[in-house]
Amino acid sequence: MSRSPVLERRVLDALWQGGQWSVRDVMGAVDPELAYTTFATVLDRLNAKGEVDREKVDGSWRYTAARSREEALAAEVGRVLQRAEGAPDPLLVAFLDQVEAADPDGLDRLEALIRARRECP
Amino acid sequence: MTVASLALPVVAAAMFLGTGWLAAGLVLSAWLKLAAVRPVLARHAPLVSALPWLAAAAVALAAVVPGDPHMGSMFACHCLESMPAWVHLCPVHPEEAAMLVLPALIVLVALLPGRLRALMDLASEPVGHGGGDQPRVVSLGTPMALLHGWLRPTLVVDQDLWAALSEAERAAVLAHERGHLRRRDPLVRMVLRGALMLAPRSLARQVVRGWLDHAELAADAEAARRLADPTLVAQTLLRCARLGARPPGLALAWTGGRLERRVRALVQGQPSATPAHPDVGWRELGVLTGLASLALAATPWVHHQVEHLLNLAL
Repeated sequence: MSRSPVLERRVLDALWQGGQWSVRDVMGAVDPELAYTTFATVLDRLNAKGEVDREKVDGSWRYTAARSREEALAAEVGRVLQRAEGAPDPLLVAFLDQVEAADPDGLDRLEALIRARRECP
Repeated sequence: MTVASLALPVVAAAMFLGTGWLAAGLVLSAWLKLAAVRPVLARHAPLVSALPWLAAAAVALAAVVPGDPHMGSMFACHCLESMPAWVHLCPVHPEEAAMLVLPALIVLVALLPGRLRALMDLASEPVGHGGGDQPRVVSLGTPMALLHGWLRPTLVVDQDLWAALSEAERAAVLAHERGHLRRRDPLVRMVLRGALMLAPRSLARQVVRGWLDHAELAADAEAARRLADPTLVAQTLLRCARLGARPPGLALAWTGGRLERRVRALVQGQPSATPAHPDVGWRELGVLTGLASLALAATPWVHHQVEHLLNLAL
């Protein structure tokens, strides 16, 4: 579990607080019980994914989040939506829903239904 | 290690996948027909989807556990004397199982890639950013509100949608998403997808789709209960539809589900008095444990029946 996406997310949670972090800083903030090398590996992988930037300061790496939490979240949700729409079956279902939602007559009919309920609860 | 000793694990794996796939095909097809007649059954999708795993485990276990408990020893040959011409699956005569390696490999080649793909899809599901029921308003480029992540769900709302909604409408959207959180739908959806890994892909998608429709209705009902105003929830749904909100495939989202069905359910139904609860709970786990115990107890019998079937087929 130590190298799971959950740990990656906890590391990013720490980096999103802002500033430059050493591996030991991250370890202290996330879980001092885990090994130093675990965090070094996670940060290395996050760097390879483009999620964190790093630069060498006094001979050791300092890490910062490559983008804000909101930007990361929007990009992640965008990827999930893109993947969901790429699949043939859900796209068909989504398309039917979309047509239904975009049909103004259908929406007017449902609006009338709501009005009627409000008038005669 | 000889080829014969490798045969049994290969045969057992093929039996597991083959039985799971077949059982899922039969059980889920029948169940989808039932759920179409009685939509309320959709809430049991996770439980029903787990049943093929039990069938698969029982048959795979039957391949490696000897069939006759009266022979005393676990690894005693129970059937060579009475049925010497049979194909046997017991660990004491793996050379017999070697006869089944070719059909087993064919089954594995046919079924394994799809199952591995499903597993990889599942593993790539985002865990979420947490944040509880507080919305994170971000630019999604499309007007929608949804729960992102299965372990630490994040309530994400598109900033354009957020800006277009009134305070009351925002409350309706949030109450709906909080209904999902209360029901632990992100986690249940993940459990359901995991349970459906053995099933044919198109059937799995239909089951997930059906359960999502049910989950959206339940979250609407919870929002109506919290706000004590079903028409506000229905009105907000229509407002989002007019703003161009679209349903995002197989995700938990405010705009998911069948719009007309959801609006009618809100307008024509009565607000529920009881809070929503998850579709997977102790009762479902109890049923599964009971069935698993039965399957385990029936292993010797299943062993014989599997050998019967194999000898009929070969």
